[in-house]
Amino acid sequence: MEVLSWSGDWNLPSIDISCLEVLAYAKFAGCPLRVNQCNNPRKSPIGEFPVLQSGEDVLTTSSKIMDYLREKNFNADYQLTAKQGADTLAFVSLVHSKLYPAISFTFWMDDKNYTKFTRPWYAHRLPFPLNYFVPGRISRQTRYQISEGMYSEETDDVLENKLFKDALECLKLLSTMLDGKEFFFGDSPTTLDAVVFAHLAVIWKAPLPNNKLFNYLQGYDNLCMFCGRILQRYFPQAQQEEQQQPSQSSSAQDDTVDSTEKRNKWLALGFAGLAMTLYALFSGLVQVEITRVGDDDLNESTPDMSAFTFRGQEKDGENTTE
Amino acid sequence: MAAGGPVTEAVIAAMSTEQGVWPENAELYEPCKDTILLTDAASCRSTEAYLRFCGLAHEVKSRRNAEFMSPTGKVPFLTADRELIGDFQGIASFIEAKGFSTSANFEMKDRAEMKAYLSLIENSLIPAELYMLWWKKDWAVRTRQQYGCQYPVPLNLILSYRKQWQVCQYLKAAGWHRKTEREVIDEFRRTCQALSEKLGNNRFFINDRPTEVDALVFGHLHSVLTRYLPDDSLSSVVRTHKNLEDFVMRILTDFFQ
Repeated sequence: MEVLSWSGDWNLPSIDISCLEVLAYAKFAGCPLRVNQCNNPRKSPIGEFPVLQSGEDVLTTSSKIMDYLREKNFNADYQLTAKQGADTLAFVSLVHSKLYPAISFTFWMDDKNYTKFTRPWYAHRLPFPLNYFVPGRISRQTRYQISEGMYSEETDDVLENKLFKDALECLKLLSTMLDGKEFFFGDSPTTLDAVVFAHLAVIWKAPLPNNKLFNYLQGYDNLCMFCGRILQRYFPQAQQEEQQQPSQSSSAQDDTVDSTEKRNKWLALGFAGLAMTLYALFSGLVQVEITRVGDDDLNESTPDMSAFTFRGQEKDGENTTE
Repeated sequence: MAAGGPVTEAVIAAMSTEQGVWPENAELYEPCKDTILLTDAASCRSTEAYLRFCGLAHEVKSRRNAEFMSPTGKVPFLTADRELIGDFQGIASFIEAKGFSTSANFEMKDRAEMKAYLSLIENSLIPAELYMLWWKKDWAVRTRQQYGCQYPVPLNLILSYRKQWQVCQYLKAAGWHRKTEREVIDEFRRTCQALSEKLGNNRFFINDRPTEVDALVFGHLHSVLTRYLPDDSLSSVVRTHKNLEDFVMRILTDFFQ
């Protein structure tokens, strides 16, 4: 089974909430998943990640993937009672409807975060022509989702206040539910833990220029510890990598910046050269005439015929060039 | 609005309404009974139920254009003194601000459960009903006809298509347009299953006291069970849960007679 996802950063295996939900759930259920951080939305049938490919089946959206894993007997919820199962469904829906919009707003609609952080981050990782359109498309899509498809004359400020009020309340409720326990339903993590972790970890780790949600989250010690606990226990490799290369990270970043700059320079030069050549050819400044070399010459030629004819053509070209 | 955060806003909102006095002339406006749609009927029923749970006097009035009178564009809406509040959520928070809420002295844990189940209903029952009404081809024809028949000739077409467009936009934003009909019914079944598990053998959902959750569940299930629908795909799901059916009957006899 292979999962296509957005790549990770800042100690997280992926920075996208839905991808993180799936990855965390798979870890909790002990399901061996191969993660392909392909960052190319064209590879997904709906243009979004995560996507699970398992044999013939291709599944999109995190809830469907988690259902599929459960069907395949990778169930993290087997020890829950029916009532706890119902609670799981209810709290997952609470997190998706109250916390998720505020996080998407912070990433994709807050001007400062979007231009200084989110857009560059995604543009860096997307393959070449897509990096120009995809971030803008996701931003527009987010706006559409948050406004529930309706045009409203609410300004961003009013909307922001409303979303953050909901998010703050949701954090408060989650903190009460978690209380002093290790996980929401006792000692082992379940679907609800995967969903809550995915949302909180992104708030906790993302180095956003304007991160109001992080300030809210810091007020709840048990939620922060919950995130830390899951990261430490279930995603240790991501952390180790980070610890191993704290010094390299800055130089590596410089390298990538350098390489993209170089690439852009060469691309620009190549494009300019190509445009000039084409212009020269089409406007008649330079003319290339290809004359067929006569049969007599061919008969006299050496076995290396192609090389010979090519040289002959070149000579002809030079003659006619002015 | 000043730079205040959600906390200051909540304080301002709490201070601006007078506590403890319920206005005598509270009126609840609903669309007419004969043309009302499933989702609207559900939210009107829920609101009535919640007002009855809280023991608040109100008068129910039917207006053909209730939807266009409402400040939020959703029915029902409540007028009290000079206040005008739309939507079940809005009315519930108005009642809470007035201090009549049945869940006022709940502990945080019960409150968390209540909010969670409210959002479950909002994010799966309501979209599922809307999907069946407006997105499913053979139901949508009937829905448009039912919605449009209260208006004169050119308006019935224009308004019903506009309403369908709006609902479809809402479903697309919520990502429900990618679901097939079977997935929608499955989602509806799963939600009913969860509600049934949560209710168990109790009288009410949370803390043995009627709350917003009970009102919403009652409104929706009652409408699904009693309204005429083109097929029984939704109502048959509800009927498989005996305790939910009993719950609806109990609320009807306890509060509506």
